[in-house]
Amino acid sequence: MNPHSDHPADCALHRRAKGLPLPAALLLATLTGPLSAANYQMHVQLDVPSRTITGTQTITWTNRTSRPAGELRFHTYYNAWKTKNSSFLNSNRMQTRDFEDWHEDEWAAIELELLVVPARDGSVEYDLTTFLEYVQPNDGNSDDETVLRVPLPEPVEPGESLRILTEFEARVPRTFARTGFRGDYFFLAQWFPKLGVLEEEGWNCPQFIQTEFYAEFGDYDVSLTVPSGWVVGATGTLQDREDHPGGTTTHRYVQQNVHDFAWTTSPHFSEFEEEFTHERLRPVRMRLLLMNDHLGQRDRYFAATRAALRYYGEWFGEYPYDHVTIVDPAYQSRSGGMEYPTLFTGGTRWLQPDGSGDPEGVTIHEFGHQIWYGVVANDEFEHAWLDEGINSYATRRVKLEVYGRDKYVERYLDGFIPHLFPDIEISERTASGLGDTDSEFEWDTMSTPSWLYGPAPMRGVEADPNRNRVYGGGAYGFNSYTKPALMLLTLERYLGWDTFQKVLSTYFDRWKFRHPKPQDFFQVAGEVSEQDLDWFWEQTYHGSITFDYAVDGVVERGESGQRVVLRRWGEGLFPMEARVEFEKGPPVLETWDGQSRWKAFDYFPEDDRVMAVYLDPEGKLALDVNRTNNSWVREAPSELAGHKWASKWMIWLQNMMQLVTFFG
Amino acid sequence: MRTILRSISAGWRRLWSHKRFLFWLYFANLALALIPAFLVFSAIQESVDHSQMAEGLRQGFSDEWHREFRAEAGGFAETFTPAVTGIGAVLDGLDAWLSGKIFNQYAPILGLGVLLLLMWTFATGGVLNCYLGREHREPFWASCGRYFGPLVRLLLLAALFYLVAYRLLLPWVDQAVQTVNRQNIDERVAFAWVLAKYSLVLVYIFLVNLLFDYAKIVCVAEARRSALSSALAAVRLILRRPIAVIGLYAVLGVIGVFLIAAYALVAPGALQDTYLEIALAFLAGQLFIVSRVFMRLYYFASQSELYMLLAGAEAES
Repeated sequence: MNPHSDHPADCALHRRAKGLPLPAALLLATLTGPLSAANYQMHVQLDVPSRTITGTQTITWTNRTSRPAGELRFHTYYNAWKTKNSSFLNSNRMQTRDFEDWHEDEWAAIELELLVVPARDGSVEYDLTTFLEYVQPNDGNSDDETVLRVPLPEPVEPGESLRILTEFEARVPRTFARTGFRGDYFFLAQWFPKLGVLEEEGWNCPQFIQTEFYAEFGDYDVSLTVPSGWVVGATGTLQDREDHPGGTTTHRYVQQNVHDFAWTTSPHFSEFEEEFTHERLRPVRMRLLLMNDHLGQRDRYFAATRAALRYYGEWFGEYPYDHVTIVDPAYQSRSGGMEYPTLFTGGTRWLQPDGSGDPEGVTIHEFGHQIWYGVVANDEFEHAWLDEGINSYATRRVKLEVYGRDKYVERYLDGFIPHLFPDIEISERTASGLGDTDSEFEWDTMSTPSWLYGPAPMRGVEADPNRNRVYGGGAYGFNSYTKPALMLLTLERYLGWDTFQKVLSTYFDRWKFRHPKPQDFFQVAGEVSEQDLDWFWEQTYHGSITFDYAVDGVVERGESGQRVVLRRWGEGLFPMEARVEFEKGPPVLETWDGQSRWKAFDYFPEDDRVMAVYLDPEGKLALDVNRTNNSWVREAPSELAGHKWASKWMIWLQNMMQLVTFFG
Repeated sequence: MRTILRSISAGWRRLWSHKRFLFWLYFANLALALIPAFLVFSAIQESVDHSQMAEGLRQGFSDEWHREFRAEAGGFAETFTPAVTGIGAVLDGLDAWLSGKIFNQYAPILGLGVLLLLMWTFATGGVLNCYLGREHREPFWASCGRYFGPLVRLLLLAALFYLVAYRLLLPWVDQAVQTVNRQNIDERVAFAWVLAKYSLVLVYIFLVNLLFDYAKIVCVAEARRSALSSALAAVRLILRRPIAVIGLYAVLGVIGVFLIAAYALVAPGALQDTYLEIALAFLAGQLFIVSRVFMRLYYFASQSELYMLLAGAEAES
């Protein structure tokens, strides 16, 4: 290697500087690449005491664009926790996170110690290690080292493949963004140098600013060496296991056609397996890795996974693999509720009453990602809602189908002791992440790239005035999960379930393994429903307006009859129906295009009177921010309701006051 | 044990022979809660008005309505959550009391609690005077007025000790538990540590409470003006007969826990849909509040009896 050269072409070597034995065949560039764009063969070893992963990679990458590629770009995600100045730790979502108690050796880092590519004719190989350069394509933050640029000595032509060999070392963080360790539990995601996606416009390899990802499909063949006796769960299926002297064991996992590889290991997992079968869907072997404090919830995990496999398969798209691994994350490991190809993490508590929503909800949701994130695989970094939003909507539907509504739960004694209120159900609009709506619509538009969603108060998190940190990731959460889920629920009720189900299944079928964009989803929705839905997307996707229709009142006008007045308080427009019920006569269903600010209906029954008006009686407009004002009932038991709930509150207050007297 | 049983039994008789205290102090609690409850009633009624949500609230609860209500509610109404249902009202309070979150309550609610506390402090002089069998020496109201000042000073002194519990001890133990649990991956282990944490804090709080219960008794029985001397006398009393004093406190505590458990069994949920059912549910809740007042007075009565037993024994010796 010429250390003075500033061009990688000048560093061609006949032997690599580090002398790693590398079969020449491995380095041969091939002009006929695999169907997948990025295939990884990795050998890695986890050293538990130092919490370090060392590994080698052989990546076979194919340029699937129409332009030559003069460089490569790698994600080096672990560097997001290398310094407090990284873009991730300075993102809005992290403003409420405290690192004061982090030890020096609990921060992470990943370093490419060697990167070698062969010349096109295979005659030489280039050690590009010294040419590696961190770049910051998104925010220019020079302290951020999560994207690595590798200039190539020779361009890779369209359709041509390139083999890349690397050696890397990653220091595992105390669990962060669902990757890391806690005690002797390791959950390892975003842990290896990973290629970005080369598109026609150039490399799409964003910095690690949020926990949404995008990558090429490929085949993974990964050998994981861990202490003997430790249980391993990983993307793919176990091919073989080999014990070594010195107390280590290598587990080899292989998986075709996925876009990431995650794994976990701990001596504390208990392993269980069950089979999912269905008359029309492919059988799936479900492997559950359960922590000891959750052994009693084994059946609940399996039942929820089975329900998800069935209903996602019947309604949206068939899970294309024959296995799935469910990982029950360790207590406070911060690795729960996340999806990776053929593997996902659930999440529960030691005491988790039936009907409380989890682990069923999180299991269905994270499995659901296998369909959207895993198979459809849009660019989540830019359009998180296309995965998270659709999946939140789908989770809600499956969950209601199988389990009904969640019951209200309060937790006491630092959250360890739950109390389930069996008479109180959580709103179906809020099931599985379809949460508060209030004025959150105005924080940002859904069409904003997800990583640029504006700051907003994080729900349930108090700002710490001493740290001048007011904002969390509210706009990201609302626009990625809640709003799109409500948007899709509205669309389902507008188009009808049969049509909307076909929209989603067509979208899945047409775009699986193809990285669609929002416009592709909109196109499918319009095509399948045979309707121009631009007016809907314009308001919901591109806009940041609220929807609020109301029954303003019923006016008694003597001989002039009765007038029902409907209002549109919000800016959003949606066609409305109103059911008007009379004391004696049959009910009337009125329609209103919802365009004007108000609409009045007059009735002249001789000896009858309006008893109730229900605007949007079927609740089609799930986006409506105020459903309380959607009805008018002449004899509504509001006084009784007030007495009932105020009297309960009063007992709460009396008890609270009485507790204060304890200190006297 | 015999001393404890004698104190409990005599305390019971004292309690019932002066049952007006029970009603007065209960009604003080009730009266303070009525206006806030009316405000919450108005807020709920106004919110649902002619909406069909009213029917939902009549039949059970409407989470959908509550989310909308919560976004707009102010004042006392903003503290309304479904957690007030049934035993939830009690658990919520106990959790707030134990964790110190009770001091972070909506300020007017804390203010009402402090007002009730002052009313109790005012009544305590008269109540203890009667329980100590001295009502013939000084009428109830006169002793209320006479001992109010010393008892307020005791209250302030006690507040210092409670401040130590919630602002020093609890955060310190909490930090220690977090450190111990730093690499723990089993929630059961973490829970055991949390139990240990609260047990330690509870023991401290109960000891302080016990100490100041007897300090109040000493203050009234021995007509002491100094809070410090009353507290020191109480310490000496406890140290002389710790088993009897702590045993009595514990036995009464068990009775209190039993009453909470009994209420948990009968506490009404969210399904009352007629005025009669609502009234019965309210009545059950009020009986629980009465039982809370009862237990506090039962402590005073039994502890006064024990004080007299111990003082008598000392005089004989």
